[in-house]
Amino acid sequence: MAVADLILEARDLWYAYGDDGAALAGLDLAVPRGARVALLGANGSGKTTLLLHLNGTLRPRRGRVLLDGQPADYSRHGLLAWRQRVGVVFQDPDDQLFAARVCQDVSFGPLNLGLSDEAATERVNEALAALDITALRDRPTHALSFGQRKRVALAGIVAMRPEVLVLDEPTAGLDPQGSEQLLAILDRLHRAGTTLVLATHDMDLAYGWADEVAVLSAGAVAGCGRPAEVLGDEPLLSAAGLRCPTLPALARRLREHGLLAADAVPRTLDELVKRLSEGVREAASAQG
Amino acid sequence: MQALDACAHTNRWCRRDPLEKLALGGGLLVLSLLLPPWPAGPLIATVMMAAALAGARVPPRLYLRTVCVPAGFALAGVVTMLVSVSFDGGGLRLQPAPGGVLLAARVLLRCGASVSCLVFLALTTPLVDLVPTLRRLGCPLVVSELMLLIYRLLFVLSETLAAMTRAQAARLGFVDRRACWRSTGLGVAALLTRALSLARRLDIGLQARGFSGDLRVVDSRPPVDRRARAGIALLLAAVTAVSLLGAWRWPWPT
Repeated sequence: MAVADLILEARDLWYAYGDDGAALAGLDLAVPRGARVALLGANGSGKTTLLLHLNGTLRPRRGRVLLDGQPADYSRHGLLAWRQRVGVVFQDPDDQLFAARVCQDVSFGPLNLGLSDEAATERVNEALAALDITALRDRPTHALSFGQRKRVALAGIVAMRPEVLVLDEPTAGLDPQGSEQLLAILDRLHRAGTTLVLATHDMDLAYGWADEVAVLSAGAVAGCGRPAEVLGDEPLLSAAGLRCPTLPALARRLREHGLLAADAVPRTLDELVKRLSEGVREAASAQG
Repeated sequence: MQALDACAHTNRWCRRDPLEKLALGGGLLVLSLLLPPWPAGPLIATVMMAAALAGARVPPRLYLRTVCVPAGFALAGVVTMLVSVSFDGGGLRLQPAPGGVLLAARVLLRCGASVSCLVFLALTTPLVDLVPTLRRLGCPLVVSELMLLIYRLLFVLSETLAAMTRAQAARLGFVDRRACWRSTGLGVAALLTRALSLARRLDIGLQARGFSGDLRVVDSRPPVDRRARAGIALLLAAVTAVSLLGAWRWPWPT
């Protein structure tokens, strides 16, 4: 693959917290421009540690992070430019929200980019509208629900207009409807050209949503590629402490029972139903 | 604390220019410290109470609850002024302090007036508005940032404490006195480590957003209401005039 296609790349990353065992052990990851990448892994597999490397919060003991093919710059100025391009949204919104009012908090990032108050206010309005939370504009941060805080934290990053948006468990703790709305927002951002990297435990979400998945295990990538390939690989997944998503597991069983064509790898429930009903119709016409 | 904050965000004057409220509450606070406590004390307390209850429509029950705490402190403090303690002949002697009642009354009047000003500010002006206003008036950036961060973390930590206490209670952590002490000790220790880790994670979170040493945010300033400002200036002048006139006409007994 040509280097220019990758917006973000991690090469042979090694990291350890204090003297504990390695949190990252020779991790390689490539994020193509405009892709939706899902990072999957059990608790303690190094997902969050990796995310903290992607915006320069942590510096690898060995190996390096490349941004647009260039080695990342850890100087003060370099980090600022880096964090403008790569925005990280943390799992717990309280790790990020500090201002007492929503509009103030969202304006923090844009002001750090050196924008004027007027330009920053414009960014705030734009980010709040993009996340459907314009109504929360003047609310005190501590009076928000968990789901609302999660959205405000995301808005604070979106307002910086990053090229790559990195999210740690964005749907964790949200109700089904809240997760769906969040994914719809991510889809809008993706269509607008944002590259998305998402760490999650939700296998079904990764299967339906991602263009590429990477399975992390013990601080390294155990497997990566198209979701249909990687997430159907049961030995790989169980070795990583994960399980197969429902849809490919079901499709595999159906194929084994001859109920589904051998080449059918449905990505969505609708696709599965379509292939199934095609099979039923073919069988009926063969009989008749 | 939550009720107080909620009221500051919902009262009838919550959208008014914080500078007006600061001028009114802060101005009267300064006057309560400068003017002779009689008759300025009762006058200021009355004005502030009327502003809070009739003007900002603060619920009277909440007002009373808020005033109770500092009033309790003031009363407890004033008791010591009423008596004088002396050792003579090897024994401890308690006796009414000469002029103690008058002194205690003066302190109470001044104290009541100042407290009513602070309570007015606390119940009508969200801290979020107050701090940028203090900034505009020249308060150093470091101080105002610290105030806002402490304010934000107070809520996060009080939520954590509430969750921890509930979790301890669910495992019978408060079943008897011994358990109570133990649970409280463990809770406070855990809160400290939580606070430290929260601070560390917040630092990482802020750095991810380009934090480089100052917590600048955009503030929206309400339009200037000249009439309100003139009214406040007039009120402050009137309180001063009436107080000075009253102090001359009905002097404090000595």
